[in-house]
Amino acid sequence: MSYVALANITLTGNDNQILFSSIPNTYRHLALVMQTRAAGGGLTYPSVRFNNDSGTNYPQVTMGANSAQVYNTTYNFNRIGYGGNSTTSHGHAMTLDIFDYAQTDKQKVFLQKENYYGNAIGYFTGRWLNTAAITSIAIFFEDGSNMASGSTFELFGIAS
Amino acid sequence: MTNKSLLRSSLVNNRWYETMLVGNSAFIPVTYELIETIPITSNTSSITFANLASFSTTYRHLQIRGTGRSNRGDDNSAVGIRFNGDTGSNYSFHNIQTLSGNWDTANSGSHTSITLGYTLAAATTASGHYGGFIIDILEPYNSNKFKTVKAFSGQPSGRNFICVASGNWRNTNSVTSVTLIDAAGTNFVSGSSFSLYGIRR
Repeated sequence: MSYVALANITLTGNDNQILFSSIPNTYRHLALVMQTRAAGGGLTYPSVRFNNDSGTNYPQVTMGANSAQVYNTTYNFNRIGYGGNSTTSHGHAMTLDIFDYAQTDKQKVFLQKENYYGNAIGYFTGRWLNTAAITSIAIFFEDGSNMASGSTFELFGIAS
Repeated sequence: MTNKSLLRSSLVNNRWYETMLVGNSAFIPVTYELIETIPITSNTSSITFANLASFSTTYRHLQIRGTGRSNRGDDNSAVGIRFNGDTGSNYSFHNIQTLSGNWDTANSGSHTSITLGYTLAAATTASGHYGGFIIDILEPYNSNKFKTVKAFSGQPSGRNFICVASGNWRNTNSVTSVTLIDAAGTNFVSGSSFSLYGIRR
């Protein structure tokens, strides 16, 4: 089996962070599939970090469209996530493919696709400015608010 | 905070099924399988996944995932895809892409490979920078159709590239091999890696 479910979480209550920890180094790539909805408040941005790195170490580029415009931009944040947003009534869906996550000869490149509030779709690529193997993945809302009960998170390992 | 440690997960290295006895849950077969991984350990102008005819009754689609870097004297290079050793102008492609925050497109109706733009980091980027890509090859064994490819790739270094691409090989023959080339005529370098997966019928 080459596309292996490593773990999955469905929130049964509101929570402000999901953490997949102790990720084994026995696969070649990882795939994260998630669907979130905000538990309260206004727009908020689903975000991802590796190995608890909260430094400005995630340069990214995106292209996409919403009901008003097409857009493309580059940016460097302290997290993965831009533009995709979630409200109490509109969910956000994302797939994040992480390549060579356990290889220590390269910075970690990822590809991301998402759709979200405002009839929007986005394609992203980025790097984590670190050659360390990824051992944990944290998922949270950028403003620190809660993800709603029913939000789902699935992590897959892809064999080499 | 919800913490899911994979150290304690029963799903790590999962391959499980329950008994097939009546009344029990069904056996869930494997559907996405690794066929081969080709790691690059020295400069290589192309790689080939060969002998693919033997999988024609097993897989409906194929997928290539990988990371790549080129020794081209620029901040990027492209990956070209060929089938069955065909180097003729029998391929079409069309790309939507951005670089440096600017829109860009590329297309050809008659080319010597399906060319995926901006897939590889290259020599003027810092070491340790690689591009990432996912290439889907749809129904490679269907002898009634030209072969369609779609791809998503990017390498966020240099001028920061991202690309969504599609293309076809104008041939209905069943695929027996897939070759990836550095479309600029330069080389994949050490650390690049290409994995081929089959998706079952």
